Amino acid sequence: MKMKVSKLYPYLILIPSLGILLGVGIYPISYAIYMSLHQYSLIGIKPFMFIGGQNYVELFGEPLFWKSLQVTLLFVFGALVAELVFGLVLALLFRGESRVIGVSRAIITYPMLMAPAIVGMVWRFLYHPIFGPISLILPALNLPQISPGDSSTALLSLVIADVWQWTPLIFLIFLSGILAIPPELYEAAEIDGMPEWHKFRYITMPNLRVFVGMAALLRGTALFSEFDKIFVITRGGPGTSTMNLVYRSYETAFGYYSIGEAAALCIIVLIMVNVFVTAFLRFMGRFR
Amino acid sequence: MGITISHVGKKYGARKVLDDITLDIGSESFTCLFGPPGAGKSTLLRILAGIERPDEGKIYFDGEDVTDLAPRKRNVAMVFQNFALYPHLKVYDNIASPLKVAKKPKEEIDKKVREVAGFLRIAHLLDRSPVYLSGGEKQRVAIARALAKSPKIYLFDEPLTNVDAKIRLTMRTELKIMQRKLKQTIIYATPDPVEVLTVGDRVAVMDQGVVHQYSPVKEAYEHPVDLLTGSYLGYPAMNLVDCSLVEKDDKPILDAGTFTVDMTLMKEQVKQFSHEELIMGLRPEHIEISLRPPKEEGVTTRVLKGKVFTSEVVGSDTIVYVKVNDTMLRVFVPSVYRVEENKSIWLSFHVNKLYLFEKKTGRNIM
Amino acid sequence: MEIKLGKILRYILMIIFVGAMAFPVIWVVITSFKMPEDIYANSVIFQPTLRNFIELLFPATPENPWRKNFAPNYLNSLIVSVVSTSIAALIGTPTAYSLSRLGVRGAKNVGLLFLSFRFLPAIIVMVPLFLLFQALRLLDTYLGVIIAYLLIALPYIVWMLEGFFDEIPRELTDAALIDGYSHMQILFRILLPAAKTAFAVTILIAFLFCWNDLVIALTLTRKFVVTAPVRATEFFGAWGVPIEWGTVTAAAFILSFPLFFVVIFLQKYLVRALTFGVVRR
Repeated sequence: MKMKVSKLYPYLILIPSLGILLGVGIYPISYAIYMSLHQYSLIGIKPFMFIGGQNYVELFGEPLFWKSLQVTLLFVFGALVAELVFGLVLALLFRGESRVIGVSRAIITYPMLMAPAIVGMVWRFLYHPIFGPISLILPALNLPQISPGDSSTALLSLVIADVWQWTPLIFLIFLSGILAIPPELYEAAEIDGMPEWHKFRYITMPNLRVFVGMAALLRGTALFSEFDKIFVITRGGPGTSTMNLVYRSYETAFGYYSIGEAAALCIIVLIMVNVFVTAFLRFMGRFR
Repeated sequence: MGITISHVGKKYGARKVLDDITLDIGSESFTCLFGPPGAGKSTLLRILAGIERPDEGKIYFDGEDVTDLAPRKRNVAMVFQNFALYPHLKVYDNIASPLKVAKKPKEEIDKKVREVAGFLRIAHLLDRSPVYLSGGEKQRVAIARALAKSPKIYLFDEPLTNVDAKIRLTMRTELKIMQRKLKQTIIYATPDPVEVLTVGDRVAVMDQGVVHQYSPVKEAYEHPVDLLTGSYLGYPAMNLVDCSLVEKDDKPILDAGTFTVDMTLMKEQVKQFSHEELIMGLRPEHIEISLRPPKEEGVTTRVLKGKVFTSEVVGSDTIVYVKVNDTMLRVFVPSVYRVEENKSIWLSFHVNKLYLFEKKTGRNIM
Repeated sequence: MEIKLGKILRYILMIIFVGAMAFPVIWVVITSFKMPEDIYANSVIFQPTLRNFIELLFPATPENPWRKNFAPNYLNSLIVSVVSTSIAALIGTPTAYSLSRLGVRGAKNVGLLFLSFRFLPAIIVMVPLFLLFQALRLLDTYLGVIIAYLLIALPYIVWMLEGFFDEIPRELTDAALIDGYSHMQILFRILLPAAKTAFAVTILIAFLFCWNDLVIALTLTRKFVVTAPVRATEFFGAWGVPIEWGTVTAAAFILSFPLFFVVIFLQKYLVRALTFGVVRR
């Protein structure tokens, strides 16, 4: 008997964790899929019934859906590209080892540890038309005003806030990558008389390729489900200029109480994330 | 404590790491598990220790089936290749570890720890952290930990591999002395033939999960059962030359292409193997080398003339590489022997020191 | 001359970036100590005051009806995050040990399963979770939020710790097995001490995920168990609605307070912890 228990021992330990995972993880996803195929209103306007893919069909017919899709894509790729570029620049600038650089790195790291909701608050404050620093500084530099209150720049203002918050993560990833490159490669290049630009192109970049992939994957998937900042700063507005698919789902569920539609939107987002990851991995694979 | 390994098999995925291993290891013997990397030596040790379970077969300690017994219920201690010392404990606590777990009284622990530390000459390191010790020191601590446990079976998994070459020499001798004092069953895995020849009583030669030979070390050296055992258990490696047995003038002749050997002396043994593809084996230490042609030659001794290709001084011995026509032979000279390259040189060896292996199977046919 | 120009440019850029990163936070922190008049006037020199913090944290009284009574919310966040993380650590650590050391078939796959849950958009879980908890009457309860946070903290802890445990050489735990330690003893006396910092970082980051969460708390709470981030968003409406910036910035400040310590202690393991072990230095 003792022998049998000891053989099961490893699996027994796993039970609580797997139990939680199943209950609070797998269950919701399956339920969400299930719901997306039904008509379900929390306040009982419409009866609960199976309608197959009709939620999806209706969604595709709505111009608001496509607008949300556009907002989502703009947000994801806009923020992603900016974060990758700035992250790279930061990593290149701050790869030294002095105390000053160490402190600088700590300062740079700070934003990404903040709650996205807090970040939202901070930036809402910064963008304030009367006393927000942004609204005061931009005209002083002869730059056009960026504000969440202006439907043409609202999305941009959110992108800026996201870039501020998450570039440090990309920065740290790239920094790890850069510091992992053996210095001998650079020394050899120096002896050979390679100019800086060449060193960057032929030593730094190839070695960072993997890290670029990882960073883009991590950040990209998270960007699809951005919610907190939109909720805090713009609530999807002005109009619908900052309403991404996730926020739309939230509104549909808790504003219009149409759970089936909301679920359908969630599933669509899930599929998009999957497509993104697969396409991206394949894209990266080609470079191996 | 006697160990019986009975038809033990183990797979990693699709690869068979141990294939039907059966060994009877006597109590208080020093048995070496010897073979190239990947032979399965470590795996067998780990199964004996209990940290891995065999897929097939059983293990018996003094007749008792311990196959499914947890490591801490077996009376074993193990010394690992990378020392496996607890980094967050001092050396003293590392050594005391098995005793502390067994909840022995404090005084007893202290006595034992200092005793083994003194024996291994590491008493001055007791208060140190194991992290910054040298390889040799770390290994002594690991051995001390095993000694402190005072088990009936000691398992050594290539303990000297990660120790500096110089220290390795001294530790080898110390291990031999320790074995005499301990009088317990020791199983020692190593890929180094010199260690086996120096320290072991018996050896199990393994390759690819199979035991090729299990016998006293002397016997394995003098009468290797096949090509692998013969060539592996020797330093420098045995000279191997492809050849075939032909009849010429009613005499059996071993023809290696570049030279021949008259096998009349061994007529009886080689009778049945004519026209077969064979491999001739000659240990470098069985070849005599001289700058002048030796006076004796006959049926018992074969003399070959060759040219020195290069020579390598290892410690206080020399390995001379000689080309006989197109065949390269290694000669072991137990002193520092200086000779110029391309110099003509004479090699002589006793015909009865030759080994003959079947090319197909590797079997020793003599 | 050219070299010097490059260096100067480099320094300028560095200063700009550090400034850009630090500025928002510094500005907010400064603002939280300003009187409302100073905030609106954007005065550079001002009389610092703790008024905002008092207004924020203390409950309303007849003389001060505008007080926000935020302290309980802060406390709620703390309770929920600490309890959730603790439970996740308690359950997750042996789980990670099991996956790493106890020869579970397909341990890698289970680990990846845990990881994939981190990539889930939280929104997907929101609605079903809401319905489930509604049915179980867990809405707006401490227990409910804690259980939900386990969904965040547990997979993360298991995945990260399994990775860290895997890195500790097998021989170390093998030697412990032979020395006579039981599995639990090995976990707590050998493995964890050897992975001390890594463990601390993992737990801290897990805590941070809970602490910073908005979506789950928003979905699952209404009146009784309101965590800090959720309550803080109540101070806002759609764009344009006037806001008491004093109290809001004070809230932002105290909500990001724990982070100071995190950043100071965690530099070394930060990248690995935040990229879920994908990037190791």
